[in-house]
Amino acid sequence: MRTRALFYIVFGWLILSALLVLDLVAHSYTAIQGAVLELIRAGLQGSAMLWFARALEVLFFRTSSISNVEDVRRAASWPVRLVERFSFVLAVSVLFAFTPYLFHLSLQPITTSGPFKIEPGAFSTVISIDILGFLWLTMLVVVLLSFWQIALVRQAPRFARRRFIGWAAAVGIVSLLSLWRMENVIPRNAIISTVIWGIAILMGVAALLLGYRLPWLPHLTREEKRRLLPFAALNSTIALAALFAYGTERLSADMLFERYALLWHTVAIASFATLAIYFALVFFSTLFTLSSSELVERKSAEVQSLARLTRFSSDILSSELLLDLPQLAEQITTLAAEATESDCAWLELRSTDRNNARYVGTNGEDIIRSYSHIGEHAAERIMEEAEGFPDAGRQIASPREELARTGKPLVLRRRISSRQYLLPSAEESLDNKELHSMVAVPLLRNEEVRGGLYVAKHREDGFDDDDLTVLTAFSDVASLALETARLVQDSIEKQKFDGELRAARVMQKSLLPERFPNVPGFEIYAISIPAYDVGGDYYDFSTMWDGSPLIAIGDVSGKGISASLYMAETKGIVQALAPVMANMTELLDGTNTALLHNSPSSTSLRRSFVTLGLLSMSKKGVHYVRAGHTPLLHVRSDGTYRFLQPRGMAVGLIREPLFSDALEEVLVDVHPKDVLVLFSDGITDARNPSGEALGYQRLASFVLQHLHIGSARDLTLQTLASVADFTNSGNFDDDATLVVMRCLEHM
Amino acid sequence: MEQTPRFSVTEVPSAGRATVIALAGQLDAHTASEFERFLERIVRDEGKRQLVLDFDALEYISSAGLGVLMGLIEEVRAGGGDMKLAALPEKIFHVLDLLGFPMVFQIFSGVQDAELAFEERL
Repeated sequence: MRTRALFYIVFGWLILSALLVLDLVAHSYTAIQGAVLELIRAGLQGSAMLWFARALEVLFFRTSSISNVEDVRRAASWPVRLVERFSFVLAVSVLFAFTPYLFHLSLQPITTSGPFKIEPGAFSTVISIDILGFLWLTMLVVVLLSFWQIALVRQAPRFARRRFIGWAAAVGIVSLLSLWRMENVIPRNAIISTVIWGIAILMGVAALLLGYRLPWLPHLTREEKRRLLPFAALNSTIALAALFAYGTERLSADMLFERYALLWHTVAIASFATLAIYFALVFFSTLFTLSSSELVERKSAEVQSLARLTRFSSDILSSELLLDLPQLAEQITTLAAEATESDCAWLELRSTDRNNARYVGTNGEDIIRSYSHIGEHAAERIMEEAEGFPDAGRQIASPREELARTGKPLVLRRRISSRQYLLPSAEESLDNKELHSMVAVPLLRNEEVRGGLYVAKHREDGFDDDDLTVLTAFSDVASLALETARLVQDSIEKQKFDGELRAARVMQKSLLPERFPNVPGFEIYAISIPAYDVGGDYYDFSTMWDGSPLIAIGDVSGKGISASLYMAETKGIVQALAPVMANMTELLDGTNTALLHNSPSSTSLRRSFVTLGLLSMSKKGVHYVRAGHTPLLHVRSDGTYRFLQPRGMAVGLIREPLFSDALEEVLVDVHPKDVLVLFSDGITDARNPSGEALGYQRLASFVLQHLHIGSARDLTLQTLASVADFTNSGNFDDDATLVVMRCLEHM
Repeated sequence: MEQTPRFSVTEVPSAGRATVIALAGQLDAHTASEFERFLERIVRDEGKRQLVLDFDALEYISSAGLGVLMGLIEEVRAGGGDMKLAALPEKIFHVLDLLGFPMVFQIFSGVQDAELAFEERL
């Protein structure tokens, strides 16, 4: 690439060298030559410039194209940097223009003073003029190419090129006409002058057109514009100076360059005039749009905050913010303030499942609040009483209530009252200034107002429609995010609840005895299978006052943790009363009284009850008493069986004396190898897939099937297995409990 | 296809002095509150104390449903009335029998018998 550029430059210089030879041979800069010769010289110079331009393009301009700039912000300031660089280029070129003047290089015999006294037509004169001319032409190319870069910024290349060609054509015609007039090809009369001036004016118009549309200018921030201003002025001034240097006949530079390149000299003058006009336009455009650049900055800030908002909302669904509701609310508040460039912001979000609760205020209510740059009291006062905040002549009682009532955004443009809303407190980062305008948008869920997002400014009328749009869009995302976070929190709570359920199950299990009592003449085994929810089946072993063992089975009505607690309560009462009561009837009576006394009687639905079956094994024999529980299954060794169902009412249903009157205690005449089975209705209510309940008879037959099995443990487990087989799925809808007592051969 | 409600409780027009209430479907923990509201309205708001509950179309009764009966029986009796149960399906009678309800409630095989029982008392 470099070698190619080098080749172009060498080629250009070769052409110019040829020109030098031509000048030395045919010409001595004493007089204006013929038009044909001038045209040949202009052609040679032009082609040399073309090669220079190509070399420069390869070396500098192609590599620094805007497409390399990644950052959007840097792309916006790119033209400013181009203008800055252009100042340097212009300064160098104008330096060249003044060089002959500085060194008193002149073709006029009158100005022979100074270090260089040049004889017109002398060899040294030709050489020095040509070398200076080379440099000057090269600089002209650089200037034009650099300017082309600026003119292209943010333009559709097709239109920019069209305007540039229009301008170049005008310049070309003016230059050609000037050349011909110089060389007397066309007469020097008023008409030609008028034509030339007319075209020159056209050229000026084309220059204006070039600078008329500056699409990059509105995108600059205020700071960038401030940076641009001096450079635009500088460029315009330098261009004017160059125009002065090349175009004023009194200056030797003008004479020199005019002699060297009559055609390109005119082009240069036209170019510098155009540049002066262009940068003057840039200067004034910048100056006049300086005040509106805030709009651009705001727009850009809005775009940025919207972009951030989008990223925020997509991030949020996978982020840890969802686990931290207060943190999320804080983030939203901060973003809302930034997006609208507000001085402060706050939000308020009501908790779920409080359908009829008042919007705010009650102590028990769970409200999430977040404040950014404002104190809680100040925000509260604004929300509660928007004193002096009239909106379209209508006095708003309370922005909070207004928001809840309408569900629409609320804009409060100015305040009349001088009341200070912000507390002069050290911890508040906002100055003790009043807030003069405010926007409130509702946080909605399922069209229900759940809260509000508020932003406020010190300025009066500080919010426009765009702010409202941004904030409304923002509040939609914020509502969604907050709601999601809340759901996450709820599910965590639910998990906690599940944990409680598990704990209750553990509790229930721990309430069941781990060991089976050693009862002379009997072998005892028991098992209880809880259903999915915590149920209320229960069995226990205890001892009566006379030392006889007591076996209890129970079933608490209802399910869940309350049933489990009720069961625990029952167990405690039975355990406490068993050693002190005279018999089982009294024990049940006491239990009934205790449970009735403890249970809340306000609503009948809360009144749960418990069925109890008690079996005592005293020396006098086995006795059974039934408080509403399922009957006792007595399987005899000869293969016959019976269900004993003495009278009796469930515990906790009705008061004495009705309860104790209903109870009937029976003696069970057990014989060796007999089996007694206490069970809960979870066993007999177990259903097969066709919905048929197991029933008493099937249970008895299952026990009979396994009667030959030696141990109570195996008998229990096999019977349970048969029941599970019957259900086909092994799942019980209710707790299923079996207590099996097997009489040994020798009682 | 129209789905029949799981549980229904209705007051049946009757010539006698007793108020006949017909139950149908499944009276479980979920439907018990509906049943309770209905009974409370009859007893407290309308002041009716002589009730006959027709169980004929009832398929299932849970402990919560029984709790409703227990919760109101004392109030009804204190007001000089009574709650009589009639036409109990075998399964439901079995449940009530196990729990000892026949000792608290008068149970009749038919609604008319229960109504007659109220007439005879006066």
